[in-house]
This record gives sequence, structure tokens and C-alpha cells, in this order.
Amino acid sequence: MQKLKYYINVFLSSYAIASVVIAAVNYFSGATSISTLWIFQMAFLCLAITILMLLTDILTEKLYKSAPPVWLFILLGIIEVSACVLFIGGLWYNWFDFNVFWILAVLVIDVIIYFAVFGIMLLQEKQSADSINKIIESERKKNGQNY
Amino acid sequence: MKLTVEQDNKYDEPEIIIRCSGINAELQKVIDAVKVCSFTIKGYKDGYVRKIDHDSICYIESVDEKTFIYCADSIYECKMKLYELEEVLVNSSFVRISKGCILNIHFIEKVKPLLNGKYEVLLLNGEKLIINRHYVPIFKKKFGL
Repeated sequence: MQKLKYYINVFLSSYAIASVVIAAVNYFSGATSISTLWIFQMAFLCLAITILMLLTDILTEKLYKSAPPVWLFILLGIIEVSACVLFIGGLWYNWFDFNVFWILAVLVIDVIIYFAVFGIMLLQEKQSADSINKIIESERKKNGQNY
Repeated sequence: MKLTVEQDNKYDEPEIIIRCSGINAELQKVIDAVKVCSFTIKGYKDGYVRKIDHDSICYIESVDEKTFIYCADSIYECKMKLYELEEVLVNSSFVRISKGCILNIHFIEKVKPLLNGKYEVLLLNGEKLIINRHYVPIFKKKFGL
């Protein structure tokens, strides 16, 4: 159940981010406007990213019992998103020309977005951890606990 | 909710009787709390059986379909399954932190977020545990976040 909630969250977040990015790319490149078909295509792309993340998650959990190395976690995240955007968006839906310029552009945009989202999430988690530590500290002082 | 406490020397063992027309959420919390208070786990070690009070348990872990109870001083094997223990300890200080581990939050020294979405928990005995990222929301909820 927790896994399902987590991946629904991943799907919705990636859809929201993809919408903003595609709208921005469209606007600045002067390309065609976003159609209804694009909206469904984007939903499918985000679903593909979510499924790929779930599969790699299951695989890394089996390979690394506690936690995979951070570099692998980051690398897999970038590869998953980039591969889906390049192959589904570029080759299948023809959102952009599948040439060196667009491949590099997609990779650069993916890396920038990945680290931006990663940084924000890390800051949020740091704040949560600080709050939890404060609660633990105050509870211990209140109860005079000494284990 | 009305509370009546009858104290008399004629009673050997304390007994709690709840009289109600139906069980609401508030009452369920009371029932769960009483269940947890009166709950002791049988721990097996070196052929001996010991009754373990839930307050003295740091965490419970399931390894290769066996359940182990980690106390501050010792490790015991338990015949109950992890999900059975989780059901009993649902409204207590215990929280599921991964597929195979339930942690008593009273034994946490501090927590630290990891770069891969997981949390690292430092226990009061110096041990470190990992909170799987799927269980991080439940863990935060336990602290009202």
C-alpha cells in the first residue's frame, strides 16, 4: 500500500514537472502549441517513467539489502527519465528531432531538473528530520528518560 | 466517557471491563492501549523462554522468515510473525520502518535523511537502522508531521 502511494505520488509529480517543462520548451522554441494529444502522451510518458522507477527500485532492493550507493541512485534516476523522454518523446511521438542537438538538450534539461528537484526534496527531508529530532529531544527531557 | 476505578483488596489481578453500545475511534484507542499494556512477548534464547515487556524492545526484525526481538541487553527469537506483532502494537510507540523491521520510537537518539530518499536512525545503543523511503511518510506521521 505504501509503495502504491509512493508511486502515485511519483507519477503525479513527474506529470506536473513535465507539463511545466514542455510548456516552457514550447514557448521558448516557438514550436507548435500543446494539443490534447500531447496531454495524453505526456501522461503515458510519466507512467512509463514511474513503472521504470518501480522496476529499478525492486531490482536495487534485491541487489542492495540496506541502501544502494548514492551515485547509483542519482545515475539511475537520470537514466530512467532521459531514456523515457528520448525514446518515447523523441523516437515514438516525434516531439523533437532525434539528432545530437536535441539529445544533448534533453540530457542537459533532465540533469538540471533532476538536481533541482533532488535539492528541494533533500531540504524538505532535512527540515522534517530536524523537527523529529526536536520532538525526540523534548520528549526525552519531559519524561526524564535515561535508557 | 465515564471512568470508574474500584479499588479493593479482594481483587487479585486488575481487570478492565468496558461497557458501551458500540466501539468508536476514541474507544478503539483505549482498547488498543490496554491491549499493548497487557501484552508481553515470549522470547526464546538458548533454550530458555522469557516474557519480554514491549517497553524494553528496541526493534523487531524479520530475517529469513524468523522473527527476532532486539532489546537493549539481548536478542531473542519470537514465534510470532512480524505482521502479527505489528497488529498488536499498532497504536503504541512502534512503527514499521521497512518490510522486515518494526522500531520502537522511544529508543531513537536521532534521525538523518539520506540522499536516496531513505532515513538513517541512530538508536540510543549506537546501532543504526535504515527507514525505507516507502515507510518514511508513516514514520513522519508518528511524530505528527
